[in-house]
Amino acid sequence: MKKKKNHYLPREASWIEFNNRVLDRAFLDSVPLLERVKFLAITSSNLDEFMMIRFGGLTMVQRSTSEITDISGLDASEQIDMIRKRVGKMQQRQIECFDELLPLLAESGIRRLNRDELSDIQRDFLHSHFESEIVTSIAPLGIDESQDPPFLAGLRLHLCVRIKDKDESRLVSKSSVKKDKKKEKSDSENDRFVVVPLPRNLPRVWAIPTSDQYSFMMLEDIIGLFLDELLPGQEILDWTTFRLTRNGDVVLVEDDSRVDLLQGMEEVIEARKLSDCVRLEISSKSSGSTRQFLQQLLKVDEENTYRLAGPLGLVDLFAISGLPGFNHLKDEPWPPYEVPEFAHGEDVFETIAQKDRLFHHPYQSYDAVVNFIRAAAEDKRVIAIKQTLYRTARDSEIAAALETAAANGKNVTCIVELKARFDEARNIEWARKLEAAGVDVIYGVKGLKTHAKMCLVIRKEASGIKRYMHFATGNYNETTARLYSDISFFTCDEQLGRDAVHLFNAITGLSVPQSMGKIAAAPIDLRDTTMEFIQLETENARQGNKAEIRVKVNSLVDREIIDALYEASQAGVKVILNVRGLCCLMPGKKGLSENIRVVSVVDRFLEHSRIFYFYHGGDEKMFISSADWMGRNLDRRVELLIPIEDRECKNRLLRILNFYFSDSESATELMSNGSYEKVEAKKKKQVRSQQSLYEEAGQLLKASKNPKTTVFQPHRPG
Amino acid sequence: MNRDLQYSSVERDSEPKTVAVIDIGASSLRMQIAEIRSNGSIRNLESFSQALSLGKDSFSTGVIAKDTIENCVHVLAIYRAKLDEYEITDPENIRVIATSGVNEASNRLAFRDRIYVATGFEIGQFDEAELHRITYRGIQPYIKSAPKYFKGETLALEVGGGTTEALWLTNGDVTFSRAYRLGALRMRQRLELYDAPLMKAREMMERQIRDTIELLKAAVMKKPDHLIAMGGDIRFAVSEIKESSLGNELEDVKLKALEKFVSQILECSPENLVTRYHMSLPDAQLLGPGLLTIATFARAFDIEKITVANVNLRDGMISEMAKGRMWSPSIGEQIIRSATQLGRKYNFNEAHSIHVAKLACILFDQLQPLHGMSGRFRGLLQVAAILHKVGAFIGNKANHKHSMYIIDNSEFFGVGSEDKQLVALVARYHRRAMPSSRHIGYSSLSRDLRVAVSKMASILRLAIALDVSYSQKINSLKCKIMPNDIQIVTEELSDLTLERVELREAGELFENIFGKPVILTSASI
Repeated sequence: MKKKKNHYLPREASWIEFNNRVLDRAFLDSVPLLERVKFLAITSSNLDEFMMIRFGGLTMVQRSTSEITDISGLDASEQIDMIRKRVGKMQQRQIECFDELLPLLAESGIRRLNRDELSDIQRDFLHSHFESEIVTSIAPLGIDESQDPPFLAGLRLHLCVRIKDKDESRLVSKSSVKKDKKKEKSDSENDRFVVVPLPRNLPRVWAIPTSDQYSFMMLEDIIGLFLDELLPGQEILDWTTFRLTRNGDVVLVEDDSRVDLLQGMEEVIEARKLSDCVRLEISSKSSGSTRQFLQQLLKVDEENTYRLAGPLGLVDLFAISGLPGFNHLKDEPWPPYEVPEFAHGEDVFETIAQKDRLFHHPYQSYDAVVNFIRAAAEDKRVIAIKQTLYRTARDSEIAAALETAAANGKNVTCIVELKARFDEARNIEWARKLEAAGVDVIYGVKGLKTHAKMCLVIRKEASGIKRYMHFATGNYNETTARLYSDISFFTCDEQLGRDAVHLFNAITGLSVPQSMGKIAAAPIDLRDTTMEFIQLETENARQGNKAEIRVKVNSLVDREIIDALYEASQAGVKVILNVRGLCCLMPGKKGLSENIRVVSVVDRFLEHSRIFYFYHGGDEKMFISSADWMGRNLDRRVELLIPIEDRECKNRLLRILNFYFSDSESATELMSNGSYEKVEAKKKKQVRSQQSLYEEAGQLLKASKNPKTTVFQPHRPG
Repeated sequence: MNRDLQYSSVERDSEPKTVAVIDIGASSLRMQIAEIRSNGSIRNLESFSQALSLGKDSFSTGVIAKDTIENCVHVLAIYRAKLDEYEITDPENIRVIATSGVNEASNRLAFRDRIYVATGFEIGQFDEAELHRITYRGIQPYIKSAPKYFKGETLALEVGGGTTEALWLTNGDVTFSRAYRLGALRMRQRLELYDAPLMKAREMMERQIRDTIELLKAAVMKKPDHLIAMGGDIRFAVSEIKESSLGNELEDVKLKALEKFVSQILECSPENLVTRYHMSLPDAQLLGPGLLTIATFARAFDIEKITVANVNLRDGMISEMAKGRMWSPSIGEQIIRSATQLGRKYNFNEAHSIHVAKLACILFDQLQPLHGMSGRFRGLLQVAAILHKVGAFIGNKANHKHSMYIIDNSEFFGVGSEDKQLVALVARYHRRAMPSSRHIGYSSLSRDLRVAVSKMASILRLAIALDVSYSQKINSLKCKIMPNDIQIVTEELSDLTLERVELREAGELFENIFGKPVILTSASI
C-alpha cells in the first residue's frame, strides 16, 4: 500500500537536507572564516534538537503499535533507518568541515593546541588553572554495577576513563564483579570505568597564552592531561569522550482537572532530563570495551552509536566563532537601520494613527517594537496592554516594559506560552516575575500552543477608545530579533482592532470565539482561508486568467495545502515558494507540479518571516502570518493570518518577498528528487537577497530623511 | 439621581461615552461594550459571550441553583473587571438586563440581590414590552433601507433560549407583539426529560412549535408576506449555507435550503457540532431547536424565502442608551399607534384624545425650562393623554380610576412595567383628586418619580381644559413664562370663556407644583 507512487518528499529527509544546506555554508570560501565556524556550530545545535525531538519522537512511535506513516508513506522504522544513515553521513561531514577549518583558522591566527605541542610554561599555566578552577567543579562518578547507574545528562560532554581494577580501588567496590560475564575478554573483565561529566559552568574552549597568536585547547584535552591527578592511585588504561542525547519529546499531559500548568511544566523539564538515550556519540578512538560498557550502561545499541573522528559537541564552537576581535574573519557588521518615527520619545501612537507601518527586522531596528511597548507602558492615556509572549529574551526589555505598565496602573494581560519547547524554564521564570509585578498572566489555551504574535494597546483618546496593534511573524525577543528576519506591522485599523480584541478575549477565556472580520486564526479558520485563496487562484487559472501564488514560509509539510498547490500548478497557476526548511512538496514534476518552483535561502540571518501573496484576479492580496504550512500550525496552535492592506506597506512587503526569488548567491532550488541545487544567476548578475534587503532598508531610511520634492509649488503673482 | 429627570438631557459631553450592556440570557451571559459619540453614532468596542445555562435551572425546577448563581457571579466579576479596564463605572452607563431565564425563576429576587452584593451590578427591570420596543428599534433601520420587505404583512421572529418573540408589522408599523414561552433551551430540556430518540425528538419539537404558531394565527388572523428572522443561530446557519460571512444587510435564504441544513444539524450530536463548527457546547445544543422553530414557522405560513436581519438585544439597548430611553420619534410613533389601538378597544373619543395629547406635548415642550423633564416623560405624558379617558368605557363615575387599572392591566407595545405604571397614574390624576401619598401606586414611587407624575398630570389637566369644547379648536399656542404667572397665548379668535373657566380649576395642580397660576389669553387682544 505505502509503496505506491508517492508525490511527497519525506519529511525527516527534508529536514536533514536543510541542515545540510546550512552546513554547505560552512564549506563556502566566500563566507568569512568565523562565520563558517558558526554555521558548523549551528548545524550541530540543530542536529541535537532534531535527534532529541524528531528522532526521539519516532522511537516512541516505533515502540508503540501505532502504524502512522509520514506524508511520503514511510513508517517509523523506515524513517529511523533513513535518519541514522543520513545523520551518520552528516556528522562525518561536520568532522570533515572541522578538519578543513582548523588549518584555515591556524593560518588566520586561531590555533588549536594539542597536548604534545605545549611548552612547559603553558603546561604550568594549565596546571594551575586545572587545580584552581577545573578540579573543583568536576565530580568523577565511579560506576558500580550493583547499584543504579548514575544519572548522566543529555547533550553534555563526558569523559569515560578505563582504569585497571585493583583491590585497593577506592572508587569501585570489589563485590560488583559480575560472575556471568564470562564471554568478555579476560583482560577487560577487570576493567573498571569512571565517568567524568564536564560541567556546564566551565567553558569548553580555553585560551592558552602564546607569544604570537590566539591559541586554545578544548576542556577535555586539558582534563586528559591531568587525569592522574583527578584519579590518584588509579592505573589509567585509556580514556575517551562521549555524549548522549535523550529523548526530548516528552509532552505535558493536560488533564481536565485543574492542573497547575506551571508545576506541570517543571515536571516536563525534569522528565526530559531522565528520558531514554536515543543517540550515543563517542570518539572513534575509544576502545571496544569502553564502547560496550557505555552501550550497556546507557542501554544504547550499536545502531544508535555514532563513532566520530573529531571533537564531539561541535555546538561549543560558538565560543570560537564569537571570539572578540578578529573582525576581518566575520561578516561585515550590518547594524540595523534606525526607525526614526519610533525613536524613544516620539509619539508612536500619532505615527501609527497617520498610517500603517511595516518594518523588516533585523534590517530595521527592533527598537521600534520595544519602544512601542515602552511608550504604551508610560503613556497616560493607555488603559490596557495585551500581549503574547512565546519565546522571550533573557533580560527582556519587553517584559520589563510590561512590568512598568502594570506598575503604572495599566491593565496588562500577558499570554505566556509555557509550552514553547526548550524555553519552558525561562518562560516560567518570566511568568512568575510578571505575575509578581501585577500583570495578569495567562498560560495559553488548553491543548493549543499560543504561537500568534500580537500586542494590543488600548488607549482612551479625546475622540474615543483607540486600539493600536502590533502584529508580527517573529517572537517578542530582542535577541533573536537581531538574527531572524521578520516582519513587524503596526496599525490602528478599526476592524483589525476588533478582531484582535476578540482573539484576546477568546484566548483568555473571557468569551467564546466570535467571528472575525479580517484576521484568520488557527485553529478556527486559518486553514480554510488559506485553502480558499489557493483554490481561487486555481479557479482563475482554469478560466484562463492570470493566477499566481508567491509564498515565503519556514516549512511546508501540510498535505492538504500541498495537494491544493499541486492542483493549482496543474491548472496553470504560477507558484513560487521560498521554503527555508522542511518542504514535502515535490516541485517541477511533470503532470504534477511543473509550475511550482521552490527555493530556500540560507544566509547570515535566519529566514523566519512568513509572507503570502495571491494575485487574486488583479486585486492582489498580501498577508503576514505566524504560521507555517504545517499541520501543527494550522490545527494545533493559535496562529494568525493578517492582511496587509495599506498600499505602501503592501508594496514594500511584495518587494521584500520578491528579493528572495531573485537570489542567486545564498539560494538553492529544490529538485523533484528532494535534493537542492544552486540557483544560477540571471544575466550573470549575482544577487544576494539579504544584502539587497539590507540596502533596501538603508535606502528607505535615507528617503525618509530627505523626502524628494514631488509637488512643485509655483510662485503666484500677488 | 435619575438622569432622565434632569433638564439637560440633550446636553452631552463632547467626548464619547463608553457604555456597556450585560444580557443575562437563558443560555448565555453576554456583554457588549460600545462607545457613543457626541453625534449619537455608536461604535462597538468589544463583545463577550459565556455559555451559562440559567434557563436550565429555572425552566426545569423553577429555581436557579446555587452553583449557577455562583457561576454567574464569577462571569460577572470578570465582566466587571473588564468594565473597570475601560473605566466604565458610572451605573448610568451600564445596563444589566435579565430575560426569561431569570424572570421565570422563583428565586429571582434572591438572585438579583446576590448579584448586586457580589458584583455591584443592579439587574434592571426588563419586561416583554421593552423587549419588543428594542427589537423594533433594531428592525427599524431596515424599514428605511429595504422597504420592500415591509410592504404588506411582515412577521419578525427571534427565537431565544426561553422565549420566541414575534413582532407583527403591517406596512412597517407594529400591529401585534408577543413573546411566547417557546425557546430552544426549553425544547432541548423537554427532549432530555423524555430522552426522545432522534425522529421522535424532531416530531415533539415540531408539535410544540406548531402549538405556538396556532396561538399567533389566532391572535393576528393574517398571513405574513415576509418572515424576518433574527438571532445568532439563523445568522450562523445562513453564513454556512451561503459559505460567506454576513454583513449588516438583510439576507435572504430559501426555506428549502434552510430545512436541509436543519436536518443536517439535527442529525449531528452537539459534540459533533462543537468540533465541526468551533462553537461552545451550549450553543451547539440550542442550534437545532432554534433553527427548527424558524423553519417550522416559515413552513406554516407558506413563506418560501426567509430574510435574516442582524439585530440583537444588546445592540438595541446600546442604541437606546445613545438615543434616549424610548422616545426617539419613530419608536414613539409605534407606541402611540399601539396606545391608540388600545383606546379604540375602549371606544375612546379618538379625535379629542389625540388632540389633548398634541396639546400636552406642545405645553410640555414650551414649559420645558419650568419642569426640566426629559423626552422619556414627554412620551409617557403623550400616552397618558391618549388613554386618559379609556375608563369611561366602564362607567363615567370614577372613570379616571378605571383608566388607571385598564392601563395597568393592558399590554401595549414598547412600554415597560415601570413606565406603564407612570402612565396609569398620570391618567388617574387627569381630574379630581390631587396626587396623594395615601394613594396606592403613587405612594410606592420614588420621590423623583412622584414629582414627575404630578408634573405630567398637571400638564395633562391643562391640555384637557384647552379642549374642553371637544372641538379641537385650539391648535397652536404659545406659553410665556412670566415672573408671576404663565400665560398661554392662542391665536384662536372665538370665545374662550369655557376654556378659561375650565383652566382655572384645572390649573390648580399646576399652580401647586410650579407656584404660578395659568392664564389663557388670545393673541388678538
